[in-house]
Amino acid sequence: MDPERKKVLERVAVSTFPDEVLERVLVQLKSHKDRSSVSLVCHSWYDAERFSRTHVFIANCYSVTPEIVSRRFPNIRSVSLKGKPRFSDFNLVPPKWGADIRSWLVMFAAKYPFLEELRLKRMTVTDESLEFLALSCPNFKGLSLLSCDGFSTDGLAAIATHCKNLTELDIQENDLNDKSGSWLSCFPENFSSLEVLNFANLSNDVNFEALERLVSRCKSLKVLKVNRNITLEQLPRLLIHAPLLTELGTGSFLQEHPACQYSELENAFNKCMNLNTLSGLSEVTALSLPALYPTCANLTFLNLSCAALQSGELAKLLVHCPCLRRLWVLDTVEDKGLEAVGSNCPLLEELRVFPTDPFDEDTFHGVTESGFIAVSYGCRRLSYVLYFCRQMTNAAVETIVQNCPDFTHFRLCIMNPWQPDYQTNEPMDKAFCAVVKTCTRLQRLAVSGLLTDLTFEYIGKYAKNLETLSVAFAGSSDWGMQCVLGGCPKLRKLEIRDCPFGNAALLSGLDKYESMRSLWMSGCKVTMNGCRLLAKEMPRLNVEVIKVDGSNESQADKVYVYRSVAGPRRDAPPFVLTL
Amino acid sequence: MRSMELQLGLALPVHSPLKLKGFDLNDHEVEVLNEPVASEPWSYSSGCLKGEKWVKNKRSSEEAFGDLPQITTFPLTLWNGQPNEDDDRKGEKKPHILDKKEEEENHVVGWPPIKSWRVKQLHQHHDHDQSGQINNADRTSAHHQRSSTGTGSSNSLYVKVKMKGVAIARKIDLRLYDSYQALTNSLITMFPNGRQNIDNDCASYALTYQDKDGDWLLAGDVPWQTFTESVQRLEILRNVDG
Repeated sequence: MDPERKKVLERVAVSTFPDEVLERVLVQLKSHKDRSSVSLVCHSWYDAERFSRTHVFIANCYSVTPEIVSRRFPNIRSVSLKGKPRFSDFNLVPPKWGADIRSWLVMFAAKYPFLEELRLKRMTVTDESLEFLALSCPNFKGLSLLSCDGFSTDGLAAIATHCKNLTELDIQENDLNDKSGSWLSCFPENFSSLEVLNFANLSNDVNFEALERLVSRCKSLKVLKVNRNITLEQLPRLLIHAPLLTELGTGSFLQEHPACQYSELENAFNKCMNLNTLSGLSEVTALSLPALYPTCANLTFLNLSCAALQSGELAKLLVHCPCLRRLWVLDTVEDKGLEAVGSNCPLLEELRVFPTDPFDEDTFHGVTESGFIAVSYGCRRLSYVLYFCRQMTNAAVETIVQNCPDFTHFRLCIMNPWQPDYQTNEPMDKAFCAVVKTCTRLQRLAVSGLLTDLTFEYIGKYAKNLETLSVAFAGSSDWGMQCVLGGCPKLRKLEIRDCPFGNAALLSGLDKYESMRSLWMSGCKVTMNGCRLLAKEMPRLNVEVIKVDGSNESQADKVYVYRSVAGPRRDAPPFVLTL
Repeated sequence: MRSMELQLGLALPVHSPLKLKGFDLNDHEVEVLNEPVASEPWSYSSGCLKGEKWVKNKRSSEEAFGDLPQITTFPLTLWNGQPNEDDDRKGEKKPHILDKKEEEENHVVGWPPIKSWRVKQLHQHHDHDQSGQINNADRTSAHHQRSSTGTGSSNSLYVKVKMKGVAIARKIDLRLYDSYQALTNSLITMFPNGRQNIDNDCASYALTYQDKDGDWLLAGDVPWQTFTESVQRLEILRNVDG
């Protein structure tokens, strides 16, 4: 066919495709990346997409304003928002920095009164905001708060009281003012819609009878994660009312009166045959652990990061968990425990090992490179690892990635800063070179140990799919950071602390920052002048400096750079300078 | 290697000046503080190691350590609440981890990168290791009160175990054992190195413990339960005659 004629026909075809049909099709699209691509095709597709979108995910609450979002997407039912930079989890961001949900809620009340779901991460949320949300959105169903701050259990009480259709209440790892457990008793006696309830991190007692009644009324309950105050004796009384549970977070797993409750517990667990996720288990001992065995056959995710298990206990437990895909443990299990992981969990994809003594250097109480190697031999499908240890060697990491080349997330934390390979005394450059060269699918990398610029040369050169890089106490000069900014085509988040990178490094990324979500640099060598220059050259970036008390005028102590269509923040506190 | 670790440890950047017992790190950092602001090296206050020499060239670790001559002469024993000092302070409360305030002074902010709620949980866990009568008594009563107070106290009992001649101590949870035999069996597997030149005879070793009054006693004389209620730390001694 004549190419000209073909072009004309194609144009006609697109423009006569009815929007209603297109919207019906687009409604099926869930991935926000796909939706982004769709919206860029042409104007009519942009419109069709924006009308059909019901969920919006805003990765940086300051990258856009509530007004812009509501103008573009009129039919939103579900919002996910992330606020503070990730290093705020480790106290590197002063309190009252911002990311307050309030202005968003005002918009929701006006434009999205039918809002059903809100998922917040690292945002500041007050009790008044929670009450406002509960009262403004009568159809509100799901609230998830992760690593948020600014609220108390009074706010939870407001949600429980007013949200008649609530299906999800997920309160995780927040810095909240836990005044009392009475919020749980605020659910009305006829309330029965809950499907997800997670209050594992709250420390006050809730009224157990109220909880028991709630669980028995909510016939669709699928996820229940209680706090440590719920005892092992109380647990069966909850489990018998929730046969549909797929995810369970227990309270304390300590048996106070050995013989009598064991059979009740065993029976209760025997009924929970749908469990795929198990967590909690605080204070678990060798005596109470066997009660779990029957329920472990279908477990895919076992979170033992609050349970100080020893290697033998873990080994005995894992024999019963052949289907495990995700395992989180404390380093009390030691290398021997990890050998048991390697032997028993061939399907394992994710392993996280948390330290029990991060600040005590003189006891040896943890895992070493041997444990990691053992896991890599047994679990060839490993793709996500978070590993805290006190010693590591280049050779070990080389072996590990040879065994497991499919890593997508490799987060190694050698806990003593600048620690070299303990056998050869060399920097750990070779280790991370092996990681980026071998693991071509690598998306997220956290480095540690003694590292020279060579590590960053390798990362820049080989890490083609890398999206997130976390660096601490590493590198020798600006060159290191320049290599990363000059390579890594898919880099979105770069967070750096206490490295010898200065203005030259910062400014070498001029062309890159607009394609990234954000850059964090603290404790580095960047100066105020360097930041001002960056701000001047790149007006569409927000360049913010957090001033620390007692630091000198020209140093830029903590720098946070991010792209934004919202312009500079209007709610910045006095210690945040927008340049 | 250990000395190198200590050198590294001494140079940890912190946001407030390090206050180590008997040693003021600031003495060694005076140079840095006096440097003019516009110059290349990091200033101490921004929390970085004096980095001028790190910046100029890529360096191997040996070279880098060689550039900190003041620190190489620093005696090992003055580092940070050293284990050896414990034995000299009979009866004095010596927590196995620093209490929170000291921690903030002696450790880098936000490192290792563990979320605050986990750190809090670890503190609860460790509170029960501290020497002193209070904790042991509390533990038993807290046990029964748990459903009403809901403090979520941990019921593990971690104690430090040292063996003469072995540099690194271990920690064990005494709740996991129900007899002296079980304990000693476990300890034997934990300290294999110390046994290199001795035959596998338990009688060659003596297990001693420090009780809540600060006295060192031979383990095995009192009933197991009494023992667990009063033990603060353990030490394994080799019987030269055995």
